[in-house]
Amino acid sequence: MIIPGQAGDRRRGILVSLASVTVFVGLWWVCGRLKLMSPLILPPPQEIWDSALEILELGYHQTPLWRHVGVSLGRALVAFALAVAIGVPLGLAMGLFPILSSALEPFVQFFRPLPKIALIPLAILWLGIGEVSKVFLIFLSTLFTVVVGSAASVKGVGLGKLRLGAALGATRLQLIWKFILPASLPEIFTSVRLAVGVGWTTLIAAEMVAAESGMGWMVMNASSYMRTDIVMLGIILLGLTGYLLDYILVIIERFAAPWAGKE
Amino acid sequence: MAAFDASKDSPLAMSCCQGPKVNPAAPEGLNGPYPVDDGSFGPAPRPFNPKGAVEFKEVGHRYGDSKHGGGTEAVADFSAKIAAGSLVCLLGPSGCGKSTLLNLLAGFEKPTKGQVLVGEGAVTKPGPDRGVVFQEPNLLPWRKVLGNITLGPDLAGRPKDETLAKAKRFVELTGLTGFEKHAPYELSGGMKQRVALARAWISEPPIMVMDEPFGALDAQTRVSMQELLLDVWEKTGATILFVTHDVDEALFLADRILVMTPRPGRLARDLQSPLPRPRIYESLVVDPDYALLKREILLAMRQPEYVI
Amino acid sequence: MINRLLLLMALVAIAASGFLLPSQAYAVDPPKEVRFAFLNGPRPWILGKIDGSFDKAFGVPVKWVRFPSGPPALAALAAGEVDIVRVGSVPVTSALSRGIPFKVIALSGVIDTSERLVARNSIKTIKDLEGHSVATVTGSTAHYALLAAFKVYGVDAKKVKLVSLNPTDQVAAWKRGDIDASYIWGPFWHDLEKEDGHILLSSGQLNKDGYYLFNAYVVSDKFAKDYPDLVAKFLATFQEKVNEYQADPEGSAAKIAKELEQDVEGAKQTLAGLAYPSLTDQLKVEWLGDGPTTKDSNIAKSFGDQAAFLVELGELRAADAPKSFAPFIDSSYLKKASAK
Repeated sequence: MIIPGQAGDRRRGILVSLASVTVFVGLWWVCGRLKLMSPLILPPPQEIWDSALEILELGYHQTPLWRHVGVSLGRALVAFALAVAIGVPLGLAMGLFPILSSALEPFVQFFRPLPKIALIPLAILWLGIGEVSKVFLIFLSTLFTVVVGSAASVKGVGLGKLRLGAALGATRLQLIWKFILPASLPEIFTSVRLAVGVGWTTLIAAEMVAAESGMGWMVMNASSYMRTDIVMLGIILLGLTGYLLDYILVIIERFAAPWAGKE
Repeated sequence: MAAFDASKDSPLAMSCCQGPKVNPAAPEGLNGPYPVDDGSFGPAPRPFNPKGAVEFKEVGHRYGDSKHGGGTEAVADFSAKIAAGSLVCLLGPSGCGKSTLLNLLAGFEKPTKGQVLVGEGAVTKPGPDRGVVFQEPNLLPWRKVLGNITLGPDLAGRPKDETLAKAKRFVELTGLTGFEKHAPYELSGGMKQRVALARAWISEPPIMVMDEPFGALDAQTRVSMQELLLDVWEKTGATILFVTHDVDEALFLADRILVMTPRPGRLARDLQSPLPRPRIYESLVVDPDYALLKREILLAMRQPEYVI
Repeated sequence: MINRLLLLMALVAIAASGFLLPSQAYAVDPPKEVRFAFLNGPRPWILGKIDGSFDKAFGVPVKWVRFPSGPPALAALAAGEVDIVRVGSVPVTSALSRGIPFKVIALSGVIDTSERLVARNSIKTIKDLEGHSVATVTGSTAHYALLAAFKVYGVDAKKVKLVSLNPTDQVAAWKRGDIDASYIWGPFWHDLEKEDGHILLSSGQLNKDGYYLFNAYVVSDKFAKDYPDLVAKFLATFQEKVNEYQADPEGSAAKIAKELEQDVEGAKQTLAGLAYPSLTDQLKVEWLGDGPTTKDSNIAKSFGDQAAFLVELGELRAADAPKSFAPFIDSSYLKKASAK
């Protein structure tokens, strides 16, 4: 049951989350201890922990663990930045001008649900096997969610605010800059958060393209050798980093649009 | 009671002395036409602006496929002349087209028939000569209280210090002193609507269009907001067209009450209020004129066309 | 790339099945179907896919499941989704080291010229690869052969840029000029050789230096235990198909290429690039030997070499690699099949 605004709600929520994670890892650990299943099928937490320590010390494929995380983050962040820089203005323009929306909508809706793995051969042919094609794949999977979300955010601006602007004598430009854009901000943030989630899942596909480092590559490479412990470690790292990215976005949103959800 | 000194720098205050005298506060017979061209009696005159005159000329409005006679007819054949500086209430049941009339006056929509005229001519689009207060406060959450109040002058590119001086006056008038730096979501419903009033009023438009602005407030807050509205109106002067479905609210506020029929909205009764100003709720409810006028309105609203 | 995703999915499936089916009653009835995992490479046993010989030999239908590379096929075997897999020796080494329960029952072919190091015409020797980028499929026999070639021919591996790409992506990267060489299996080298490429080395040339690259048939422990007769019948039928191929290489290659929707020339060269030791020959110590009792068979030694190579690469933990691979070789089915 949700009783909003009660003091201690947040703290209790965090405690419950921590407890559920602890119980889950505990059960997993017990399963490993009692050898309920082969470590190949489900590596016990202690094996993953040992592998993590080993990789922290020696690196994976002569590359330190932090560099795998950093390389993936670098690729993803460049792609996200591009997707936001291009997708938000494009989406807003589509929301503002129905003609543009009609012209671009078929492409956006065609590409958005397309599995980006299908584009790997094309990405290689167009952009080669360097960083560009990896960033391109993540960018592409992020872009369309941002575009659709930004376009929808414009349509979500209430008639009341537009009428208010008109009644106060706002010009068309003022309506866009001073009313529509700020009013769209919370929803734009929501779509960026969604898009970053989608883009992060494309990391593995992107790092299938001739990578030699990165968390996605690490997972893929380890799976070629049945190293389920490293696969799990990579998945855990991918999950935690994705979680962190989302949290950073939430904090940015709190500064940029503190009114979100409070109207 | 007119706070002339408080509006010395206002262009509206200057113009008041040149325009025809109006004193809507003067009591008159229940049925008699109100002598708008005669300001020879009553208390001190209120500031007013000759540009505040409004006329609805055989206005009809239809939503949807109006060309082929389809759609919904919201307003039919509505005509009324509203004198500059008066406070007129549009009273009627929900869906009678009173909000449509306001939208037409504000310029948000164009009438499918007839014309709406204001001091500057026929209404074609929204403009800063008509301030609007909506049912919802409609504050911009990314601006603080003060920023919301100064929105109109900011958009018009008025000098900052002039705007701030004006804002200070309306912050005081609306009782928002101390809340200037608050975010809108930190305010109660009544406070938000105060900000909306100040925002509409800061540009001192000759006409104010108000669409049930206090409808969502609780009873106590509503009364204090009504008193606030009268106070500001008396100090600044503007023609107010106020839409409500609350008979007591109309009686408390209005010089003149236009009672409308259900859809399509037509003018059912055009009543002048004989009630004296300043109005005090507690004395008003025991005023026999109040009771008589209320009876007249209630009877009008019981006419066959109201029985659906 | 898709093979890796499949592998991931298969690993998840293993995990799920590990949760859901901790123990299963052993079936005594004949299986409803026998499931083969096959890869895209043209091989004689595909003739049996075309004419249904295996189905006839078993008396139950065969389900052919296609995998883009060995590791996901072995993951599927671990998940109990397939019974018999044809796979390269390197994936077999890592899968056995990681404890997937299966046995090596026979060689399906010994790699000679079917896997090749192809380079741009401007690159004349293997040593010249230094300073260039070379593509390979991570964890494949070709990857192993490439690194072995570096050792044999004195190439400083640090000076070569290794690019991990799947075969079809290698063709795309080759066309763009992003890679200068590739160690790859047929028929893919065919596409590379067509466009400014020539052979620097083929895997058979590494045999004299002690590096053996081969494809093997592996069968899951559960299937072998339940249906040992079917395993023997499988090998006998396989030998029939090899004989059929050897009697008419051209015609067989055409049939196989059509079935796999591949270029006939590429299929012909790939098929010709493999050696097919007979079932009887495979029982010699030169190949599988007598299984667990022959500790020093060439194949058991080769698995050991490949495990050492994977440990050196950091792909395998030294502790995981078995001391001897002989226990994982079961030549009893070879004996049964060749006795018939």
